[in-house]
Amino acid sequence: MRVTFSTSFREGSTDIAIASQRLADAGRQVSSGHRINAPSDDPAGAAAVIEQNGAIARIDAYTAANDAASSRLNVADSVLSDVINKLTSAQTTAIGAQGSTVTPNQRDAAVQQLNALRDALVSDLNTQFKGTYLFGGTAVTTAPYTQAADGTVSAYQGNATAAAIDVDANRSVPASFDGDRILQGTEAVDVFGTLAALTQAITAGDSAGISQGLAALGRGLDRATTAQTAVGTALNTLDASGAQLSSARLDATARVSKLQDTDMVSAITQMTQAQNAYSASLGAFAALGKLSLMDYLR
Amino acid sequence: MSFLLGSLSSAARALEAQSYALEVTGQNLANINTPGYARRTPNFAEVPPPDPLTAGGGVTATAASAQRAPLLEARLWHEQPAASQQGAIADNLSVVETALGPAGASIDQQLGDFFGSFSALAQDPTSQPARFEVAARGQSLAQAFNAVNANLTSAQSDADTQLRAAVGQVNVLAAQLASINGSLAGAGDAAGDALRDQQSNALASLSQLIDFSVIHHEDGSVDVSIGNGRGLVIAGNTYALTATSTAPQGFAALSSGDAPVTTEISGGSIGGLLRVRDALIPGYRNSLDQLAYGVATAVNTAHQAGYDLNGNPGGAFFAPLATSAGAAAAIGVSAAVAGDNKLIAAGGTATPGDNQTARTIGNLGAAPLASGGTPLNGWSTLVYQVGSDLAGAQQEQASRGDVVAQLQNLRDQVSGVSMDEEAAAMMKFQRAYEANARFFSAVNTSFDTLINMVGV
Repeated sequence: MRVTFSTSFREGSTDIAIASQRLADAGRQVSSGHRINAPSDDPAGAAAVIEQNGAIARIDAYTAANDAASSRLNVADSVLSDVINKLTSAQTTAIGAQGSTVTPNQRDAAVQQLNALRDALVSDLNTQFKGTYLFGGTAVTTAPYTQAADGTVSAYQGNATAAAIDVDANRSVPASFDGDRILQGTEAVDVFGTLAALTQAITAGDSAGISQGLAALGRGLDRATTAQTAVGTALNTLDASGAQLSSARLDATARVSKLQDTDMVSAITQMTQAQNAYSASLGAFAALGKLSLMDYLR
Repeated sequence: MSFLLGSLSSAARALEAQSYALEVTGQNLANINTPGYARRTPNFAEVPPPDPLTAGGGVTATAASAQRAPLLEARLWHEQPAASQQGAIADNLSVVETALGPAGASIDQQLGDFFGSFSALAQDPTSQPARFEVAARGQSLAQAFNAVNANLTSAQSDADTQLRAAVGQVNVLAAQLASINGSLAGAGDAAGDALRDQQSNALASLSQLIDFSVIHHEDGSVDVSIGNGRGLVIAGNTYALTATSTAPQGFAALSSGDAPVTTEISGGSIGGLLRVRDALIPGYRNSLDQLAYGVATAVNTAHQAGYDLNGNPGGAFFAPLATSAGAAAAIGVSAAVAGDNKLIAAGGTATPGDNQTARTIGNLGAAPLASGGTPLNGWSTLVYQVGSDLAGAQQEQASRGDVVAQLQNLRDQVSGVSMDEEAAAMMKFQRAYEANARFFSAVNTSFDTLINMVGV
């Protein structure tokens, strides 16, 4: 075979170009830390990275929802604890005001206490979280209960729809509560009506009325406790889904890393090989270019 | 006496022949880097003796012959267009790949942020900041679609511009080939060889631009045709390719005479550019349009089923799109929603704290669109498509390039100039010249001897 001037230069420069391209590619993998620097490096891998990053973004959104729901539910939980305390105090007060030995002064004091508890309950049920009412169903901009100047409490102003927040693909927790379901349930009058009837019965010394009121308070207490249990369950759900989300995130991150990150050991080995190949091709070209019969002619 | 005189003239012819051969070597060395040059070899012919008692008339140099490899060159002109086609596709798709934006910071991220903002709104449907965020994310998503679409469109126009330039080059080369054809008709051997070098070079350049077929004629002229047998060069005539801007996008349509040839050309950089401009990028734009249309339609459908903060039924969140054609360019948050974020529908009922619609839209990010596949799926499929088209073109370019390089090496084995060979030839002809000069002077001395003898 004849080796001609243009052939050896063409092959030499092509080989050098290929070797330097390989070195640049290997170097880029090492310096960027990524195996995929453009979709064409590994089209299927790049598409999978996009999907996995999307999954991570969704997990992050659910985690944020989880955190937001958790603070909301914790507020609801402490409000419901307070409601339970207040209802228990009301029971104690009413029991203390029952019987023939109770003096009018003691009755007055009991009525005062019950009114104070009523006010506290109104304020509990009107609790706001980030500027919206927690216990009015989805009517979050309306106070669930209003009080007239004489202390009379209005009927429930909210609705029965409870909003929910998605905290995972198929899991949601309540974000607002139906106050009426806690204070009235299926009864004819709500807790405020019961308290008003109780104060009347205490003032009148109506022992049977007080007993009826006490029974109604007991049922109210049951409903509040049930509601708190539901909140507790939701908080447990959040803990469980939070743990799942963070382990799912770790998995997804590991998958992304496996897809797109450089395996440093093999990448550095490849880079060293490419470096050697490059310097060898440069050396070969320079050595071949120097040799010619022309140099030996005298 | 006649013997000496004959020797003297044959020695002179030999000197002439060897110096001519040396000159050929010089020509070869001078053209060592000239593209298309086929190395010349000097030819000698023995001059036969006039009668049996004479040794011979010496040597005469006949025309140097050019070492051509017509079959290899034909093969090269056939393979080169495929390599150039893939090269043009790879070059242009690299631009498209960049146009898609960096992974994790393009439409993929905007989609996640947009649907995430609706999920955040679901946590607090009356919150002003959350509503502001939804409107802003909606606008960023629409702008990302607009920007990627604009990038794709400009990559398409770039391909068109390159195409027009390539058509211009084809016509220049065609004119050159026609004029070479004209000159070849009356040219002698030496001039003919130089013209055929130029012809071979012009055809090699042409093969980078377009695929063609060649008919060789006896006198060395060639007829070149493109597409379905459309003449480009016939004898001394050129039938130029014309590029006419055509509606709707103003892209060049190619014709040869009155015949449209745009769809007939597949090879060379022109073939590659046509493929990028007319098939690949339109495909990507179509996918992007479908994605934009699918997202806008799905969001609007859910949004219109909900209620805004004023308790009214929701309007369109994105300005409604009639068809998927042009959707990526047209998508935008509706003017009403952009102007008043109270009009974002978060509720499934008219109550302000209802978050059902916001939840639904927030979950659309993971739900299949009408066209199938989640929105992110649509985007990753597009990225995959571009990436695999580009990687395919790069691989194809490399392997076709190898074939072309092999053929060039084979052609150069026949036609290329070797420096060592020329050095050896130089030495050979120089030595031969020296020897013949020595012979000349020996004959001359013999003459002297004879003349002195006679003179004495």
